[in-house]
Amino acid sequence: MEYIVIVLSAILVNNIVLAQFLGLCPFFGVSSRISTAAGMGGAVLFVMTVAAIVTYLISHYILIPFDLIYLRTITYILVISSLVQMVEIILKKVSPPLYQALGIFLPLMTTNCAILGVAILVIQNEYTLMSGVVFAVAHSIGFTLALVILAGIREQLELVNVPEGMKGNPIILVAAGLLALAFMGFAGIV
Amino acid sequence: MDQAKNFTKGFIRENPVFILMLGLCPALGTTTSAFNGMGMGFATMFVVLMSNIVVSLIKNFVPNKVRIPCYIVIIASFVTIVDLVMAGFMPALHEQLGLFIPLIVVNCFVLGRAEAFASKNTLLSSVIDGTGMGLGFTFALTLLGAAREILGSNAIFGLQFIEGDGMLVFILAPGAFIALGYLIALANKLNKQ
Amino acid sequence: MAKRESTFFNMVLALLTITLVASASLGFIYELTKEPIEAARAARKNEAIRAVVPDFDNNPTEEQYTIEVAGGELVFYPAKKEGELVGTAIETFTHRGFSGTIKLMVGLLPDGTIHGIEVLEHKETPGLGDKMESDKSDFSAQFEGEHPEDFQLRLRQDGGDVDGITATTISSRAYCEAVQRAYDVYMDKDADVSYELPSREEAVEIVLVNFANNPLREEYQVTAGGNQYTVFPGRRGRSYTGLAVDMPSDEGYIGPIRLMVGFDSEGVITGIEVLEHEETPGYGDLIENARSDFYKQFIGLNPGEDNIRLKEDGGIIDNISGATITARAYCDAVRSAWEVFSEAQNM
Repeated sequence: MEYIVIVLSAILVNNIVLAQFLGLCPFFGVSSRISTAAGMGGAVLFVMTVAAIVTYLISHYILIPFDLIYLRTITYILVISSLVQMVEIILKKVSPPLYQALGIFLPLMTTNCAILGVAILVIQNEYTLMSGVVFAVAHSIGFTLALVILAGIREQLELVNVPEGMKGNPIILVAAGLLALAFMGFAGIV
Repeated sequence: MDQAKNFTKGFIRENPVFILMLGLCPALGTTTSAFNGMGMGFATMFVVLMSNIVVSLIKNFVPNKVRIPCYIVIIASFVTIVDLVMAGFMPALHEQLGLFIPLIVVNCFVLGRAEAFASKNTLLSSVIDGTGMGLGFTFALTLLGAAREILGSNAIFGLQFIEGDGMLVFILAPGAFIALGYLIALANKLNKQ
Repeated sequence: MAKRESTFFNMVLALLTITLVASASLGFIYELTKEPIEAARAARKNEAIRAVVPDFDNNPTEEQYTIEVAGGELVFYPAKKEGELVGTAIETFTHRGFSGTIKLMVGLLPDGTIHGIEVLEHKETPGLGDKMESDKSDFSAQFEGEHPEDFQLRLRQDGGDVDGITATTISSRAYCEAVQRAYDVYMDKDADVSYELPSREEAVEIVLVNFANNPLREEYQVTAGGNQYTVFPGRRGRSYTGLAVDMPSDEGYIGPIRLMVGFDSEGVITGIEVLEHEETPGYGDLIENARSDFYKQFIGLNPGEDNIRLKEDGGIIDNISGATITARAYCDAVRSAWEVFSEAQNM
């Protein structure tokens, strides 16, 4: 039951992009095509889950026992950036097709605040390791969902005659706003 | 390089939020009121300025291949300092900004300034660049916060000017996207002239 | 200075220096800001306590106790004036806020009437959900002076008596839930005095440390001062590591108090649990380990060397304010338990 609540809340009610404003750079940066959006989503799913597990272990076995919580930001960001590098190297060796699919998105992961944000939220919400993993997976699904929908809207937008001043980023932001409005309709289901 | 131009470029011409579309997460996440936006802006400005100074000072000491991890450590340290100092002396604001304080570290705009500017320029230019861009970021966040507060709560910096609730949607998430969309349209228009 | 080459040595040197300087300066700043951060937190809590209960002259944070409930814990801060309980500030919570957990400080008078409510922590939407804060709207004022028995803690649209905040049904509903939780646990605590006292078996295992046997199987009787007492020896391998003494005493304020006292082989106290008592809720029941830290001051003392009496009786034990007789009986029982322990050593 607890897991269902976490999943519904993360994907629909508190969507990481549309309600919590995390991961906006890739949200606007790589949402021009549905296929790239889906690839980005896959990479986020992968890195976010691994990062949540690793940072959870670091928090509970190093930072908390030694009373070093104040080093959280610095350790997490270092761990995440080395993790991204490592995943990139391993993927290249072990699974070239997967590397082809996700590779170009991996370097963007380090400065994706959704990854660090979720890692911190898992600790702040005092989740267990299992709930933390569910939380991370659900959030990356929510991220992918928002990204793919926006990409779909943007593909359609190209065919539309937009007023001069609103061309480019402004109209995309307004579309994202309307999307967020639609997601607000889910408020209260959990 | 013309230092005056270097200083003012952050406001409109190269404004991190309106033109470069960087640092959008805090720009949308914390701007429910003008005051919160300004608080976030100044916190980020401190980090940009300090990391610009340090990066510019040590740019020759750091070998090229490890420069990004080094910059990240430096930025993360200043972020933690802001986090701790705010928790101690401005607990109310700290609570409002919450998660977005540690997330300054992944604000692409901060690392971008260190990598693209401070690592290649003199100390003085880096200080001016950091201050100018930081102020530009603060300006953008305050403006967005003010717009949302005026429309959403009929208030500015907490001062109510019309009784009653405003258009609540502007306080909520959708309003953040829409308000920023129109502000960017406005900035584009100004830039063209 | 020319740019350094990217040799292995230079890279390691640069990274090492920067991380060392960074962590050292962070450690320094952390030490510097530690006190202000804690002070800010404590100030906030004290301010909230002060705002929700009537005037008091004790220090409620010193007498706080915690009750675990499903989903978290409630912290109780008893406020007293001249030793008399005037109200209790209760730190309560709900996980059903619009954006997660909300923490409230609810002040109840001794009969359960709500005296005041303050918001401690929330992540609700500014401009909407944050109107539950007492300085942003009158929402919290409608609870003041109401007794939850005749004031239904539900929104009007849910059939209750609470006027919700416009456009903020979820936050308002969560707020009511948190208040209700504080009230329920508070009333329940008064109704049920023996709240989760450990059984004799549990107590033996808590008060003894460093044992590998089953002390319950090896219980035997010791005669001291003409009475028989039951004791449980702890052993690790063949060596004797301690003794738990089941110590009844009939000198409490209201009725008998029964303790389980654990000693190590030298006679140093390793733990104490209250097995039974009938003392007054809010005063004498603070001898329970779950309700105050009173018992902690005994741990590590040796009644053969330390004077286990209240400070007003010339000893070294801090009293429980408003419950002197209970605290005195507790000390007496601990000393008697040590007598039993030394008898057992001589056997």
